[in-house]
Amino acid sequence: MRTLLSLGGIGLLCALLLAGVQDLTGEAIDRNRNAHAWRTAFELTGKRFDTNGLEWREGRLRLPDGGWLQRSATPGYVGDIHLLAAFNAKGRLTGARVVRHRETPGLGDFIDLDKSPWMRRFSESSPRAVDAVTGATITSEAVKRGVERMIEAQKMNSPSAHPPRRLGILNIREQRPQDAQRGVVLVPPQRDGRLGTVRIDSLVQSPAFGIAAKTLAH
Amino acid sequence: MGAEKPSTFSRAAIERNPAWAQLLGLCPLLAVSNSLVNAAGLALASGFVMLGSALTISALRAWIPQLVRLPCFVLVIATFTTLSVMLLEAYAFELYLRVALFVQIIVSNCMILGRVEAFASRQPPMQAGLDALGTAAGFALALLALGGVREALGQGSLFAGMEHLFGPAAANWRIELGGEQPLLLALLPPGAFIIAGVLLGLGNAVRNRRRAGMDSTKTGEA
Repeated sequence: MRTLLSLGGIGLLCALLLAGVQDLTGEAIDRNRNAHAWRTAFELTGKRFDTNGLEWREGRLRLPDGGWLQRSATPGYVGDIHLLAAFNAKGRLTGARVVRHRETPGLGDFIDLDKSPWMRRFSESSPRAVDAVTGATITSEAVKRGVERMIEAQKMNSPSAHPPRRLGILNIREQRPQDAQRGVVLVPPQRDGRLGTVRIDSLVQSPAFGIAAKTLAH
Repeated sequence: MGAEKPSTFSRAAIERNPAWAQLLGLCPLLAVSNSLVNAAGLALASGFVMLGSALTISALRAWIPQLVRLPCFVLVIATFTTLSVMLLEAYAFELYLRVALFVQIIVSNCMILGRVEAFASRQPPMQAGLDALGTAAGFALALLALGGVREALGQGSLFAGMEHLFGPAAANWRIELGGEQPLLLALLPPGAFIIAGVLLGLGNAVRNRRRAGMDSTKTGEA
């Protein structure tokens, strides 16, 4: 009984302490987090805007000028690399940043803007044209893939793109060329050189397969 | 602070230096010490947790049942760790972004649990506080030594990024050591082990000499 009382007492004390400090710092913490997120956003879009009433929905934040911010994560060398990308009103990528990562310090941390300007290249050229960094191929490719995927996802989501179709399982060897030309079926090359069966609707999102689709269309 | 009998503080900081003498808390030590600013940040946070937990536990020691003392200690340490995370995030956000992950694992730093169990839970708050300060200072010393060496070797600079910790005025504390290619190994985990080993050896040499000097029966052992 005594044990229980003292355990409870200490728990209560700790809880009070935590609640007190939380109360004290909560506002400052929220302010810091928001300010940090917006700083990144302003820096990324290259302009300041009124942030009132803006909120994230499914990893996407619409901006007053018609553009939007997109969040995503891509597996890097150590854990996920969290990316933030800005698109303008026309749906073009205007820039991308790494907001959180655990890549190897000294080797993989060039994706931090305060370590290297590498991330700025994504605002100038397509992800494929960005050079990987020697000694950190996995990290480089992960970021490139992540950005590319966001671009691809945005193309797929825009109204002009084909509405997603559920075509079921399809044997690619029997796929008609006109399907491939419509961009509906994108196929990864199989390891043994043959093409396999894939679920169409789950692959459409994936930019890494674009080349395979082209080959198929020929 | 007599020379004959070292005080609680210096005993905790030097003779029983948590990192170099007791080899405690090596995980955060090796993980965060890749630059001076990170080292200083973690040292401050660890010191805060160490001091807060030691004082609390010492003050409550009469009420902590022997049987469940470890859960109580961990609870108190976890509380102070969470507090330090909140305070960092509220008042040193830039630093928080860099060291948050490692501050959170202070809770499992056996240096703190060890000192609390071995000392603070048996001593009055005054003594416990001194011991905690000494332990924290010793840990900070180890962190800064390792951080300094690793930053100098790995980045060719010292005090880089101190403005994240001490405000904009510290931005020009940065010292460029120049030199040619920085030694990347020093920044990577294997480098941390190697440098920590070398520093540990040096620390042992210093302590052995000190002991030899204090002990009159033993003469001049290098």
